[in-house]
Amino acid sequence: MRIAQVTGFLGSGKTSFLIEVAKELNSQGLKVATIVNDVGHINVDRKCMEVHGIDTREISGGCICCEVQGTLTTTVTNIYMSYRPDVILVEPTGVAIPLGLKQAAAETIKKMPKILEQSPIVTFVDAMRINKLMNNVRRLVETQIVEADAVLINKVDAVDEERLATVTALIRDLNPEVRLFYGSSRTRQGVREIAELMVRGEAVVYDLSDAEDRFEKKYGE
Amino acid sequence: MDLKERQLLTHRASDELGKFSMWLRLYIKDPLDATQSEKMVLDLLDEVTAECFRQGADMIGHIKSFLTAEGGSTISVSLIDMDIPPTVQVRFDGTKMMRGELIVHVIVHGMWDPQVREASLKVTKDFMAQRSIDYEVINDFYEKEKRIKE
Repeated sequence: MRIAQVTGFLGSGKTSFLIEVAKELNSQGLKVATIVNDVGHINVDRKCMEVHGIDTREISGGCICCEVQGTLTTTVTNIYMSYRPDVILVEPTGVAIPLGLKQAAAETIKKMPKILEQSPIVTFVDAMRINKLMNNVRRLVETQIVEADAVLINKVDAVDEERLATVTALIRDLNPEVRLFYGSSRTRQGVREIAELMVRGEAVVYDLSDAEDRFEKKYGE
Repeated sequence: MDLKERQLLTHRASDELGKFSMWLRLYIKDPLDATQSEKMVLDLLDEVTAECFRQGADMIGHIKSFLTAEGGSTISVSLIDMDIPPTVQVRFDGTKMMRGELIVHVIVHGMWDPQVREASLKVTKDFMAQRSIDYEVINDFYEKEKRIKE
């Protein structure tokens, strides 16, 4: 069973895109469950997923990447016991950062090492709004990109080529080695590729020391 | 300072977002069809957003809602920027809505959670009164994500 987590600022299109990914995986005969982690106890994303017939659980009471990491283990275990999916798609809040998500998944994998593998973490970048976000929440957005295993530049159907080139350059500047994808839930561009990455992408080996070094270099004390 | 503590600090430093969500039960005297229901939700979100900006918000994080009418019809609306049209998904079965449950999430940059809560509830009260829609707040929620280890 794979645990595939995404991150990306609020409104970057995570829910809509994951619905398409879930449909794609279903069409390949794979069983999919999703975990959503929204603001508080009143969950809109869960309802959106369920309207599309996707088995969804929610984690509330805080962000998976920091406050309620332990809850992820319980939720994943419960899903495994009751549903035995091939893939669990995890959509955390829009302020989650990859490092915290990796930690949360690593803790979960320790509890079920022969069953669970972690897929690469995909950060969603909103091609339409990235400039505004870099002005207002730069540190968070940069962190989400710098720590990502893969980046999906989303909503590419809504921007022109020049803008796309600018966004691509921005991502490459922040994280030169990252695997880069282009997507749109409306046109389904990139859906198959991300589904493939989640199912067969090289499982992440979590290296705490590397993460600490990067954090140190980027932000200092 | 260990990694976890620094991670939380980063989170807090970057997360200057005011958040509030509410879950409402609506009792509608003049039943609404799909178009009217969609407009009602869009207008409410527009007014909540405008009030937040009047009170100091400078960017939308994400404003979204999910309406479930009796019979299971649904409307979801997502608003991420004043300059980008909202995304609307309507699955209405044709029956006019007399009762419904509406969840609204408001996340904006530049305001604190209590202000977002106050603005959202005030706008909702006036909005529903103008349309003769009775409602009750089943639940409201704010200030959770930022309550990280004081």
